Amino acid sequence: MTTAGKQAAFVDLLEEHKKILYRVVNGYCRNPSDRQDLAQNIVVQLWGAFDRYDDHYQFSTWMYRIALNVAISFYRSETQRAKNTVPAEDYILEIAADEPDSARSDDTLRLLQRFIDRLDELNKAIIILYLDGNRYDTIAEILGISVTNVATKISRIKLKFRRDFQDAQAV
Amino acid sequence: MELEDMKAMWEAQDRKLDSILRLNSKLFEKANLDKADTALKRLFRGLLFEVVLNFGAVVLLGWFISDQLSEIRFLIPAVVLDVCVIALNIALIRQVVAIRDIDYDAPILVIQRKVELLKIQRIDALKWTLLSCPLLWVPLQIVSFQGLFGVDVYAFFGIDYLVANLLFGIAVIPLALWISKRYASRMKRTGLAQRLMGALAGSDLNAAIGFLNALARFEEAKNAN
Repeated sequence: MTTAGKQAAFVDLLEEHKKILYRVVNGYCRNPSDRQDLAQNIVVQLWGAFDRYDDHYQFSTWMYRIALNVAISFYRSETQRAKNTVPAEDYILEIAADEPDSARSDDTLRLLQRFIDRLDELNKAIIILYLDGNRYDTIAEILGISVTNVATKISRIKLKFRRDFQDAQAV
Repeated sequence: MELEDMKAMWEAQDRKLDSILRLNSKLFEKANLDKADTALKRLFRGLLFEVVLNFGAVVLLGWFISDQLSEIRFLIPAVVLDVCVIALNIALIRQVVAIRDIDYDAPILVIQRKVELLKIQRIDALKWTLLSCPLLWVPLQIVSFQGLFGVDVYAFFGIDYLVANLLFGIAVIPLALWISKRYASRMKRTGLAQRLMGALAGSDLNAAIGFLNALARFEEAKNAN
């Protein structure tokens, strides 16, 4: 494949799966300019690794791996982390903001986002993959852990979510 | 409300995405794929440059040592410097190899462990470089003055000056450690200063090791249930 052809194929695949990019970036960054930086970093790493992409595997699985790896590394860099610690209350989800009649869903989504924010880097990856409807074996493959481990972690996250939600209701 | 309900909400939100994506195609158009550059690649090139510079220093020190084989007062400081530069270069080459081996399409835990081990290597190298600087100042003066200008520092400045410099260097190390521990966390706005002080204080290293432990705990649950 020529370089131009490869670029076109890459951009098409990226366009088709851009929601993955959006979800990962939103899951790990609160600051809009950081989101742009992280998205750019992910795209560059995807492009750098595109030669090694084996099309026998799903593009989404491969993309998730790279996106989450870059996001976790980005999130953990000291300067970025300091910038990322914007309190959840200080921002409104961009998507929900465009829906004037969705105040209740805004609150619920904000609650979910706050819950995700409080998870550590690795559990954050699990919950993003889970909410996106990935199967346990796919999540296990992306993360490099066993399916049993994924199931255990998701069940713990669910328990924690239930408790946190009840606490939020009580307040 | 259960997480399953949230999943339904997440899916509903997902359907809206197509029409209101903020990270739209413009992002991909802006991404100049031919000039793809990342922090790791920049770091890689920077490290290679340092390796080449240090290699040049090793060669120069080698010439100096061969010239001063009979002059023990110049030979010892030059050998000390040479050993330190070689050790630093080995540490840098290890980092170059570690960066080259990072392939982001491997499973997350594998990559995160590699990235964190690389971070630990970098912090260690920075910490030992900073700690050795005050001590290496004396041999550096002796060797550079003799090598570059033919000035014998022992005779020119006197032994007392060199001993005082060495003692000052020894005294600076605990002082630097104390200042770092006290002020590292307060210097949030200055990235470089924070990195240097964090490395000296050990806080960066602790954070990296903490994350490695978290990775291990994350993996450990595989035998649960």
